[in-house]
Amino acid sequence: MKEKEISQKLQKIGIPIITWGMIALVWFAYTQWITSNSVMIPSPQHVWHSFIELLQNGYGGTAFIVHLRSSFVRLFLSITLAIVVGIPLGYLSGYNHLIKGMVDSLVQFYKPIPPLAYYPLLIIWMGISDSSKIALLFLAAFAPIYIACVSSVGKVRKDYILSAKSLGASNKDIFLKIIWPATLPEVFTGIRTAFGFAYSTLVAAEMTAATSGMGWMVMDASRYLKSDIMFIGIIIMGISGLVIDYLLLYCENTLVFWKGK
Amino acid sequence: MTDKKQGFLVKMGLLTFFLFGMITSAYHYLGELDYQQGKQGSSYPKVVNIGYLRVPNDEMMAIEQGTIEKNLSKFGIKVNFMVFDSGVEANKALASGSIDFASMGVTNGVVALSKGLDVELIWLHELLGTNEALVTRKQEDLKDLHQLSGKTIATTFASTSHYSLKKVLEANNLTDKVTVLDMTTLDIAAAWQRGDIDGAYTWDPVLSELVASDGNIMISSADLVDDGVVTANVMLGRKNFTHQYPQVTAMILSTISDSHDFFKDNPDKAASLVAKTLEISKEDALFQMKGTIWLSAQEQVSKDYLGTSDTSGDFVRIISEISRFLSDSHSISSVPNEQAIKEFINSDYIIKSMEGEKSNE
Repeated sequence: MKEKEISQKLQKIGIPIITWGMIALVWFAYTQWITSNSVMIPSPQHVWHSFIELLQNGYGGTAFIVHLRSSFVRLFLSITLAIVVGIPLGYLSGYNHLIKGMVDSLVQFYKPIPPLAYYPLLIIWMGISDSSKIALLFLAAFAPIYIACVSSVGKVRKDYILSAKSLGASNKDIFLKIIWPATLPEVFTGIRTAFGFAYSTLVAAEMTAATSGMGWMVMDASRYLKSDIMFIGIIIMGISGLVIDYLLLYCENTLVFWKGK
Repeated sequence: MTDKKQGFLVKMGLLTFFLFGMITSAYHYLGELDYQQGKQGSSYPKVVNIGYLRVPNDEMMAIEQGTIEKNLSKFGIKVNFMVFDSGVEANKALASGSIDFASMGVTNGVVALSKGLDVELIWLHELLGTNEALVTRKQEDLKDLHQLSGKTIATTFASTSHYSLKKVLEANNLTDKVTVLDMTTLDIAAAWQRGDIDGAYTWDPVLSELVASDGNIMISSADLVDDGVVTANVMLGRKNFTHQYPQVTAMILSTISDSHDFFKDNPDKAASLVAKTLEISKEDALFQMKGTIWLSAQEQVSKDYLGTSDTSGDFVRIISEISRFLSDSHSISSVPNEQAIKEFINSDYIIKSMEGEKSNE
């Protein structure tokens, strides 16, 4: 039994590592022996070298750390805002049909629209500064959080609430002892989805009239065919996205340990 | 570790992260606090936001030379430069008041005018010359414009090139005989390589690229100038800003005008200056700069171009023709009347900048 568990764990970690190792090897070999066109595929050494240079000299007149910080701040503020607004509104909608009727249709209306489609409008209204970008990411993150709250409140088993009531539980008790723990797992999943949405919208938000941020860096590099910078930007965005998602998952598993039980 | 202890640690971790995020955000925006405009009525703003195009012109030189920043810093004004791909984006930024000045092709300026944006035309960067042209394939060996009949030609719609192409076709009675396709410059380059199009009316750097791969220039915007078909890159100012700070506006124009003179005197140095930013060779930069017509401040206020508030210049006619063209191609819904166009063109700041120059001497 134990051996099986270990081998399963090895498989879980080992196979991705081998896959990535293979990709790196093919990448290296391809650029080393087959073609060395730095526009199509820059070699790993070339990318590494550009990365060191990027750390030292920044990109587009801005230090690399400032690019990272700009993106981080936009993402952080928008998701914080989405959580602060989305969760209360979601629970209220779950409870109250009037509020649900008002908010839900709005959310359902804009949810399927690609953010890039309404971003130009946000720019006209709010300008090219960070407020329009944060508003865009907020809208992207808000929908999944809100929807998760509404649907999870609706899924709480009625007999739990009725039994608690018959035993004399107050509304506050019902919320804290039944609804909150029952809905938290789904809300957490909503937050993770929201993060994914906001993260993928970040590049779109930084594409227009920005002068900093990881997304802008990749877009600007593409305009001048600087493939090495594009590689670096994409790799960093991929890794940081993975890390953040993993951390969120870890928090979820620890804080909502009753999930699925 | 017990679940409870672990949960506590994670909660503390989340709290720390939240505080970290808040502090970072505060720190990040602290530096931008002085972005806000100066108090109403004060004679100098705290900051000027300028949107520019990545083309080798007088404005890019002034930016590269750092003269705008230097001259305005004497009055404690901070300058932010933002690059825009085209006037389309710059217009959005102008509309929201994010930028005070923007450079763009004159067609996009007309779009701003017809949409009622609160802006005015204050400077002509350059008249477009051989840097915008109609290219066809060498092997087809077209000598006369009439031979274009039945061909497919690509251009970017609502651009200065589109306007010029339309004028060429009109002058040769080809309007219904040529298929005109709407493409971005990058798509034009790709379609040309694949052989999907017979020709294109486009601008540098794609224009040079097409010429290099078996292209033949049939007519350029420089040839059209003689027929009164004038296209230009212009600078727009947001009226809220220019009316409140006319001296600052004049100061910026006079700085740009200095760079203009610098180019006239040292074209080589000027070319190497912009070549670095545009990441092209010095020869290409010089070639592109020489392909456009740079007008001095004095020439701009003459009646051939912008004119003055008393005697309106030829640009009233040019802009009204472009408006009609844009309206015909459904890019704008209403053609501005002559009065609106005269108000849109404001050469007062150029005159003011020239007066300033004289008093400095």
